[in-house]
Amino acid sequence: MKKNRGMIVAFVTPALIIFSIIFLYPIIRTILMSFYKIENVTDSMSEWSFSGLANFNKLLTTPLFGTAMWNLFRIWFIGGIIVMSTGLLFAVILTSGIRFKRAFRAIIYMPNIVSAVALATMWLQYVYSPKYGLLKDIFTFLHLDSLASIQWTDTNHKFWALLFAYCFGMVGYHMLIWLSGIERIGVEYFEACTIDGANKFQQFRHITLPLLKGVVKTNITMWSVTSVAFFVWSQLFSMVTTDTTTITPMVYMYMQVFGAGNAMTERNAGLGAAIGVVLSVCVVCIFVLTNKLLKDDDYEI
Amino acid sequence: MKKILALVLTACMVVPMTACAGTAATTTAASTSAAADSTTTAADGTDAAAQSDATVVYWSMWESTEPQGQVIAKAVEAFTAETGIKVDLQFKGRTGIREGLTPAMDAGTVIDMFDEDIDRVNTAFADYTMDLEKLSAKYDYEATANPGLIAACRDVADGTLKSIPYQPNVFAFFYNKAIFTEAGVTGVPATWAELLDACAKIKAAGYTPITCDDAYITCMIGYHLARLVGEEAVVDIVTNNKWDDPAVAQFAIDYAELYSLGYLSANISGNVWPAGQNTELALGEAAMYLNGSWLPNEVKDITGPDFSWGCFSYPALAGGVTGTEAANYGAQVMAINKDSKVSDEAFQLICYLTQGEYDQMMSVESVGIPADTSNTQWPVMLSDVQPVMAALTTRYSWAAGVESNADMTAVIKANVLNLCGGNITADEFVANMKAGKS
Amino acid sequence: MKNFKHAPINWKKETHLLPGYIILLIWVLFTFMLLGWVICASFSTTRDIFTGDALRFPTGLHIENYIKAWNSQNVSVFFTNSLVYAAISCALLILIAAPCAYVLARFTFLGKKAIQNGFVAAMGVPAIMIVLPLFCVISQIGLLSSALSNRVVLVFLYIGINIPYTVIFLVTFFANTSRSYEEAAAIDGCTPIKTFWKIMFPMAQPGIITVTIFNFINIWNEYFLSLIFANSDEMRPVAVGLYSMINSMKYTGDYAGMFAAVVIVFLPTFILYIFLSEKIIGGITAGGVKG
Repeated sequence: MKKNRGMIVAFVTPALIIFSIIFLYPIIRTILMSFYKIENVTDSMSEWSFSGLANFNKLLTTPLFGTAMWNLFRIWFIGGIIVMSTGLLFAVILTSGIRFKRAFRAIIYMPNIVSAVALATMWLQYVYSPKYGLLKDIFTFLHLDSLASIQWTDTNHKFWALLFAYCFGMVGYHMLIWLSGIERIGVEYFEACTIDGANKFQQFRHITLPLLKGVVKTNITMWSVTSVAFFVWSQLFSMVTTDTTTITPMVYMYMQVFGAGNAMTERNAGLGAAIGVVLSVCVVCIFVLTNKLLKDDDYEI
Repeated sequence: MKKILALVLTACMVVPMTACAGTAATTTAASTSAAADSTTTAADGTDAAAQSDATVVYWSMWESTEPQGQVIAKAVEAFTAETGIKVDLQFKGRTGIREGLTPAMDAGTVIDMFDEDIDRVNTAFADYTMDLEKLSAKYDYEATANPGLIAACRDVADGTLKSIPYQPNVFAFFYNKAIFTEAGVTGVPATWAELLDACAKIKAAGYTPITCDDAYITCMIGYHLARLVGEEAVVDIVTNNKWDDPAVAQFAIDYAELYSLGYLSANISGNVWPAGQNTELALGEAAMYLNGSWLPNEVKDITGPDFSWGCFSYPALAGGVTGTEAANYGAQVMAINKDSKVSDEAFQLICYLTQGEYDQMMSVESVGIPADTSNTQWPVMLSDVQPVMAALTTRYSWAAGVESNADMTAVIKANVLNLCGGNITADEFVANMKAGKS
Repeated sequence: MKNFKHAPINWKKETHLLPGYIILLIWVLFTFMLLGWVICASFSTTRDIFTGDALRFPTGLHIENYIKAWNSQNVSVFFTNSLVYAAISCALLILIAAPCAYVLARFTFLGKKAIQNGFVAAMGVPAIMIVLPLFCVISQIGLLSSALSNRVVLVFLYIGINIPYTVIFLVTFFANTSRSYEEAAAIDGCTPIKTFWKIMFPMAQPGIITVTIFNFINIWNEYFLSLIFANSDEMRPVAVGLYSMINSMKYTGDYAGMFAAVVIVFLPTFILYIFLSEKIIGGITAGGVKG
């Protein structure tokens, strides 16, 4: 197809201009800040004190930040697998011709809209409660007493409690993204291969999945972006003071920029900026990697 | 299509550029009202006549729907009616102040006064606060102010008065008096031995002696260590990782003992706030909880008005450096922006809010402690707190300084929770802390 | 909306789909139990919630939670603000981001990779680092001084913050569409620009709809940006007002009230989602152009 220079410029420029106005200054400022020691995040440059790579060095040598990155990795990887596969499963089921599709879709998406404050409170005080919790009731009903007596929110289990609660709320969102990808594939393809005698699994493997490559990339990218920003849920599961089991880089960054909870700890917004740089680089790496691994093919649809 | 698009975009970009209206200003229009008489409560007459076109911009940490916020709104209305000084009151909430105040002031937004916690204002916001010594002397503020609080305000600001306290609070053991009576515990424990004694009786009566939540568990180790070696040493231990200090081992042994004797709640290691205080303490299953004087207000919907609250300071320990006269007490404070042009009017507003009628109203509506010593009537639920607070002479900072090292707090928390839940022994606790892992 | 009375139920087909139904029903049941608890809690009292009796209503239904929550904030003013901000922002977002995504998907040109990576990098930078410095600069320029410019700035920010997300989202949609349409259109004499607006844009409808719904809900619920930039109450969107209500309930220990406030926050968002997904998706059948 002929490359129309004028059209390219006209189409890209508005987005680029707005992007530059909004993001360019903060991003450059953040990168610069990561090399300084700064007290307030909006201090003018005259109040910054140069520290070179000290911030990044500190991140590498602080065990708590390492714990935070490890937690983030597990959330991203394990949570990602859970959410993506469950979302895909639901999307496939919904497009396989069942009834009440719209109702199911809306109900599965609902938790994503409910405020995290309410969801977290509900999980903590209702589902996981060791006194009258839902899980305790279910396990007691099934006579699985050892499972019923587990304290789901103590140090040994809190991470998994948090992960499961978070994933539950995210499935609907990613299911919608899968749906929008599957719906693009014309119905006649499925009809054709049903006529040809393929069953549901074969259809899925040979038609749906390859055509979803692009959506896979979108899903992974979006999941990565929301994962690195994991913050509110950690805060809700660990009020006032942070937990080693729920801390994520964003939580650590917040502590460095605004101080830790009620105690007035030393703040370094430059360290916070360094964390921002690290997270951003992570996301870009994942994006570039998925693009390399999942090359776009031009399918005749 | 493209033309419309271009038009819209141009409009979007041109309008902000041409909308520059000079330096950042407040959004309220300053109207000149006719009434110029002001009824200041000030003693001397310099600058006493308030300009009726002065507006005090007040950013508050409360939400407009919180009882404190509602009282402040009422007070501001009455203040303007009385003095003619206009107030632009904005409820920013915790986030808006903690995260948004300094950027706004850095950006030159006109903010005359703000409030937050005493420590935050005097450390994080210290560069933005105005010295209030002169104004305080002018309005003779200290005549009726709580001396301990004013001293604390001076203390955290290195000797100068830069903030005015209100909504005082104290951190101590809060207990269910009904359980104490039923278990036959007379008086309050003043030493650790007495505390163990009381726990034994309470346990025998079928109640849980002590409970806590993950949010406040670090206060328990903080206070225990501070009782043994004083706050400065605690800060030293935590910041320089001196976990081989014998006080740490002593804490581990003491709390392991509490666990093995069954004096701690079975849920303590898994309690996520507010589970412990709401489901155990407020419902009358547990007896004691190391918490702040805001606790009765927080759980009043669950306890009902008939709950009898008791209070005692963290017990003294054998061979300890500090005793029951030391605790964390503090307040929310109001401060004035050092660049404020209406500091006198702002201070008048501060006086109005933190003294007399509206201070009393704040105390009643929020079940809090009054700031004005002439308001001698405390809420009934906090009556036991009065003697505790009066007896305090040494001020700990939050959690007695054990949270001073942001990189260690999470580790301390995890280990203390495990210790209290019986998942690790006292030796393992010390070993974990030395190794810096949980 | 499908009229179930007239379509005969194909039982054979339904049994084949039974495993799917079962899986969905289990999940839906779980969702109802969890969200149902939230709703029950909102009609309950704080005490009942923490004694574990939220589902049993020992003291009956408490509607006063909702009355209190509704009266505490000037909700109707906020609603109009939010609606206006979100609607304008979403429309402009698509107009600006869709062409950009199309071009990024279809053509190779200098800077294409840099632009995409730049967008993704921008999404990875924490919001605090973006919003606060921006606020300083914008405020110092004086753009927040008048009500109108404050609103324009807000809308501009809502759009700008979501551009990377929308573009990246739509790039894959355009990338996976067959080039044969554009070739056919070119043969027919259609200019590339017209080809885009008349053919490719409609073809990407599922993606555009989905991302618009997400954008709308994001902007509707946007709290931090609005809190920092909306200087006065009259330009505040609903999220700030309602979240401040939720926060205040939490701080005063009024959990029943908090859940009522949460439901009040959730309902309009959910209704909007239903409205958007039904009306818009319903109006556009997935067929469009057959290959």
